[in-house]
Amino acid sequence: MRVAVLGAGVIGLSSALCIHEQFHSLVPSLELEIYADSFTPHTTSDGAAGLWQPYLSDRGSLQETLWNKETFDYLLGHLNSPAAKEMGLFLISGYNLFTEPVPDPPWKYIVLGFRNLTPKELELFPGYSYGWFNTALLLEGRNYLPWLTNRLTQRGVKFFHKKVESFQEVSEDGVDVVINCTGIRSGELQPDPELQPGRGQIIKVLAPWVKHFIITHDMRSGIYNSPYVIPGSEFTVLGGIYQHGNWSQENSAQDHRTIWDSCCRLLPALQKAKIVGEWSGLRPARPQVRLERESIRHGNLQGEVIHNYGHGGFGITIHWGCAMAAARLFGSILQEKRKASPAQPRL
Amino acid sequence: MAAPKVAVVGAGVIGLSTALCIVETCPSCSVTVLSEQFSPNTTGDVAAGMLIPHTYPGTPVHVQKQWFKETFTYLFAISNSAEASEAGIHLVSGWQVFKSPPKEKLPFWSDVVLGFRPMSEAELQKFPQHQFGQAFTTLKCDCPPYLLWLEKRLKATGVQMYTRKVADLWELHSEYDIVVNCAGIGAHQLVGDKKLFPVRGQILQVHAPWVKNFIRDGDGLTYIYPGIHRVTLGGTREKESWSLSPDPGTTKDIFDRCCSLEPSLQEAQDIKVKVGLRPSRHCVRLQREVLSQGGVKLLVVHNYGHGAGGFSVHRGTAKEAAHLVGECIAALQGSSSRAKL
Repeated sequence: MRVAVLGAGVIGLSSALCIHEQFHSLVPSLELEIYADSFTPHTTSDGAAGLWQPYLSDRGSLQETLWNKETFDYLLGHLNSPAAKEMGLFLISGYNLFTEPVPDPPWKYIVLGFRNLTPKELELFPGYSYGWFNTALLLEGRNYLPWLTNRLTQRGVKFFHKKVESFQEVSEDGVDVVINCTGIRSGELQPDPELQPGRGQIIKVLAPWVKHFIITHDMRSGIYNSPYVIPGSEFTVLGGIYQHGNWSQENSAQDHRTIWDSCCRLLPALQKAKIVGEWSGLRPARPQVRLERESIRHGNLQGEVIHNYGHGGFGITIHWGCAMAAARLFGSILQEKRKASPAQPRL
Repeated sequence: MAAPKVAVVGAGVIGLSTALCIVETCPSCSVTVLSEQFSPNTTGDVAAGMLIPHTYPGTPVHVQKQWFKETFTYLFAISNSAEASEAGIHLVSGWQVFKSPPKEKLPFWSDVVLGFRPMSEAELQKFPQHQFGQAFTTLKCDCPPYLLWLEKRLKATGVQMYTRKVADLWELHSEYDIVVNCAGIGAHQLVGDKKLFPVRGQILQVHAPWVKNFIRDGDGLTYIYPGIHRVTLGGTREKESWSLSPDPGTTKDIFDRCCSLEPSLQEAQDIKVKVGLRPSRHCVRLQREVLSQGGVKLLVVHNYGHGAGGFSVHRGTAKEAAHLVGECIAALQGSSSRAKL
């Protein structure tokens, strides 16, 4: 049973690991392969700061909130394990700031110690009159992706540096199931007008005195279009850009100024921070995550595809819940194949 | 009289902050700092500089609270300014955890720090050996940066600083009108204060930049305090021990205790070991004294004995010491005008 995972960002690698962990002993003939044209540190996931935090509202999808919770609980369970540092996983506390009162988010009971900010805390942030404090997790892509890669390599999963042009190409090669984790470029394999880039730009600085994340919100300009500061283990990420429909991955001087000026207004001490890098990436935005099966016929061949893309700016936040859901879909495919060929003692 | 000449003995956090307060309240004073040690060799340089007060049995709680509040407010403003990183002042959040619930659920300082509240069940799960905890956000003064920043501010106002071991306060009587004794643990010898005793603390400073929250055991012995570049792991409280040499057995013990609170510290790198002697006393000695020899007087203000709580109350006690210096000046001016009659 050959399974090809397309895409080696956080979604592809975690889906591969989850499927291999659950099924390799049940399906001895399982051969898992990963195909991607970008690997860490060049994926979208590598540019993300890695803060676990969903959007403010679940856009009507309780399912996504459950996947977020599964991810948080899974990561929390790894916090005290020896692997945590190598995974790039640690606890971090911080602030969400608003200019007006807002409803509590669907994730308030998922994170630790969620509460409203006190008036004295708000004095730290002139211009903001309301906010939250909570402890969440940070999972740095630049550490997590290599960690996932190592786990997969140890399990004998093969990696191929290749741009797959179509599902057909993979089916014709003898692959039984495709896990489509191609993120922002999923549309090249199968047109999807609902998938759009949510362009982001970030500045990386050295500001080791910053120990909290600070996410501001402007309810009119939308998510991530307001300054944010997220300290990592080596450098701090400054951001606040979300441009829907913009495919450019070039750093923009104007966006740089927007980020720098607004973050320095938020945290005056940042003026002394040394800039060590800049990056733009395309969040694979979609009204909801596409996580579903599809049977694709090519002539005589029928290929099973599990789509797992469209995680916008919350890929790291939701990844494990989605990987588990993808694994469940894989399980149902296996079940159907067994029923279809009962004469075969094993797949 | 001519501009009063004030000598501040001691250039640790108490001496420097007291000198700064004197300059602020008495711009006409000529202030000189004399010290055997300067940063990075003061007791405060070893301390993590966390604003979590120590309780002095001999000082009324409302006074301690006032000192802490003044210190917190002062540093809060700096942490919020462009100077924060140079001054080494930053906010840090975390948890104080207890193996058995403490008698006092609300310490006197709980409404001075930010967001103080009991930990939730979910938060306590990270600490399986602990049953109760408090979460809050407070400030940390990283040293040497904070002391160097104080020195810089003092120099900018014209304060002179000299390396000099003062063996006896009286030796300063001909050069200075008022002496402010901020000698910390040195006061044991300098003024023969037998009520002052060292409480030895050994700490580790490690590279573990993924540790963003502080964790402190309510017993005060085990703590993890993330600073700007290094994380301080502690510690010990050894009464009456004068040894400044690191003890390897203690190092391992501190490391093990901290790893049991935060397992990821097993991966910490570049471990440096330091020792400091907390200048401990039943209460902070914050009072005036008049030394007299052969008809000659020397006005002294004492400000020492802050023990484990120096950083937490330094600005509050510095302001009070500056106020006492003001009283000394008034006394000098009073007696000099009487002398003229």
